[in-house]
Amino acid sequence: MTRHIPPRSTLLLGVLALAAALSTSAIPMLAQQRMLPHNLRMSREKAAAVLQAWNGRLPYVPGEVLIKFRDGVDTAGQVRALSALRAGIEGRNARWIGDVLWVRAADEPDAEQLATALARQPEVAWAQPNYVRRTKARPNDPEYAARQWNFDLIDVPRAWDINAGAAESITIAVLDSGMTTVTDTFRFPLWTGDRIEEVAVPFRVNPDISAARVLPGRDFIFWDGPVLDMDGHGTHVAGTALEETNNNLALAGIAYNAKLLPLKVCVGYWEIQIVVSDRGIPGFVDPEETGFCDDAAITEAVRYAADNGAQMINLSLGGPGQSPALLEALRYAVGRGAFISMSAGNEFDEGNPLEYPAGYGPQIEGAMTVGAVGADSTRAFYSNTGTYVEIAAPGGNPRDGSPRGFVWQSTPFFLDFDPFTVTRPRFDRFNLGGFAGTSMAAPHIAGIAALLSTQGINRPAAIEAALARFATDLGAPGRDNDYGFGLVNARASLRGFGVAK
Amino acid sequence: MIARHALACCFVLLLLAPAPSLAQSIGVRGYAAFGVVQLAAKDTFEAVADTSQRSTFGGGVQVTNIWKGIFADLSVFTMSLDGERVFVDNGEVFKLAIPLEIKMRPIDVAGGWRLNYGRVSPYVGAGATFLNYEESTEGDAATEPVSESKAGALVLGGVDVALWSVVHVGGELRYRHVTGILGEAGASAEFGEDNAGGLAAAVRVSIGR
Repeated sequence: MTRHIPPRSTLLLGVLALAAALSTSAIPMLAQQRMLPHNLRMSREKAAAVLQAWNGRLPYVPGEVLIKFRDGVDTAGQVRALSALRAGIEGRNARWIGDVLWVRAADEPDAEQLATALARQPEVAWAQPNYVRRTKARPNDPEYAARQWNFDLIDVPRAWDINAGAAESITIAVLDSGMTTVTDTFRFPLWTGDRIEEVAVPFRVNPDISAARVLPGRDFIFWDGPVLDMDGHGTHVAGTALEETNNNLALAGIAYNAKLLPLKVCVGYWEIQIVVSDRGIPGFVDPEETGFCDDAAITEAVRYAADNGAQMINLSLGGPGQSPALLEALRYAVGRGAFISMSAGNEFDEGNPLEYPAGYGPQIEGAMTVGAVGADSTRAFYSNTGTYVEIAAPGGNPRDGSPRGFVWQSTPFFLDFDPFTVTRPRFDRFNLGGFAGTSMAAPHIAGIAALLSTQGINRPAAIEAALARFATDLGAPGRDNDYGFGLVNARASLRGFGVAK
Repeated sequence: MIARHALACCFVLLLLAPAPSLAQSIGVRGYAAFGVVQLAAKDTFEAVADTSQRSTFGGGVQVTNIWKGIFADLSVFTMSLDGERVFVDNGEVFKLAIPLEIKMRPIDVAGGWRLNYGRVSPYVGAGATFLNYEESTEGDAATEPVSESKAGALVLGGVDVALWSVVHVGGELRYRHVTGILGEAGASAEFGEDNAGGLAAAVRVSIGR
């Protein structure tokens, strides 16, 4: 199938020209990689592909596919199947993620066509493009607010009477734009308006999540260095699930004793700008784009989380296109005892498309797809609906017109890195950030799941059953496409059953 | 098992007893009883309290020989269980470490027929039971504890043996069937059990005629 690249609304010409040139490796790279203390994960080709996806709003990373071979296919068979590609595959352009092979074929950017061609090979069980997912929040201008209506709405404070913040042995993996794990300053190459400069960019660990509760994490998409959040989304999502509580600082999180495993699978404006600048490409990338996370990184991170003791995995991201690789990774993680919370999507007003991994929720007992409600307990206008919505949680409804239209957590101060106004970002100052989206709803479920697990319900399918069983039914009686089984109720879920009630 | 043994004892006593004597005057006897209840909602209580059997005690008053061996009986019993709240998924029980206290107080009103074989006096009866059921957890909000009272059916049977003229000891079985408290929510709904009653076997000490 041929895909047409959509019109590029805000593409900057300098970036476009160089990106196109990069894709053929015609221009030698400026030797700026040595500026960085850690290697970028994105190679020259990947950077070009990412730029293409970024600027072209493509649903996949050009030229990249994920392949699963049939059982019993040996190396010779695998090589034969890959011969369907026009060019051979060099070692650095292929990598195993579990039993899934990630492949980049630079000569064929249409990943859907590539996947179709590979899927026809008898040795191949399935092949899919390396789809791009996007985080599911609607950032708001920063302002201070002290109300966490969202926790009251789902009876979290009274749930804490039963279980105060989950056990320290619980680990919640947040697969997102990351949450900064070091307080340090890194020098990154950045386009500052007229040239590429080395810019000192300070980072700080969120002061409202105790360092002792933050595991080192891992970056699967940007570089080999420590996890850094240059977007705020990951920090906000992690905050809902885990922010420090009862410490007279900022706001609260649901499972405030649990540990956070920050896994970076998404990049935002600044990571892309750094990669582009590092490759010597002048100009600003499109600040309208909200960032992306590709299936290869997500798949690898889901498996990593499961293999490294995470009992809860939060995925506040999604996008179109089925992903067998992601589905298998989710099943693998649930099989290893991890409960998974996934956002339903924010595109109700844009045609209400079925997105993934949200669409896989009903297929996996132990993984739940989460829709969003506002402070009035009605479905947020943006929250996708469908048979795959399994439960609802607070996500905010900006049309509310008040601070109660957002979910608030401690996040990096947005004006310090607003790509529309800033050329030298900093990520070392925090304030209360208001976000809205199903991204915000999902970590409520992950946090409550952590409380449930501490309380004794530790099988992912049973956690799902408990959350569904004790949800407050909204909308049409019983399960419906707007709210799933209803609005999660933290206290009721934790109390479980007596004999008569 | 308890019920079977008790019934067998009653049957043996009836066989061994002399011919019944019905021509006696009206009497009143008070009694205290101590025994064991096998709760009908077996799976539910085993999930919550690890047992469906519990000790019970109570007492009552019986008016005997109202007419040709007919008696009227009013009694109250009490029992309590300590367990913990649970979640049930596909039959698997997850203990939630939230203490749960259950109290049950049946008030029984019954009528029946008593035979007198000298010192041995078997009896059977039926009537109504009014069960007050409470379950609570420390820290419950106002709406969370359960306190329900429902009426149900009662059948009973037993035998008294006179030790002295006004002192009797005996064994008794009571079966209560009470719906409307269990089965609509909670663990009992998960297990499809709606009878809050059960079979009680008790030893009775009575004083009176």
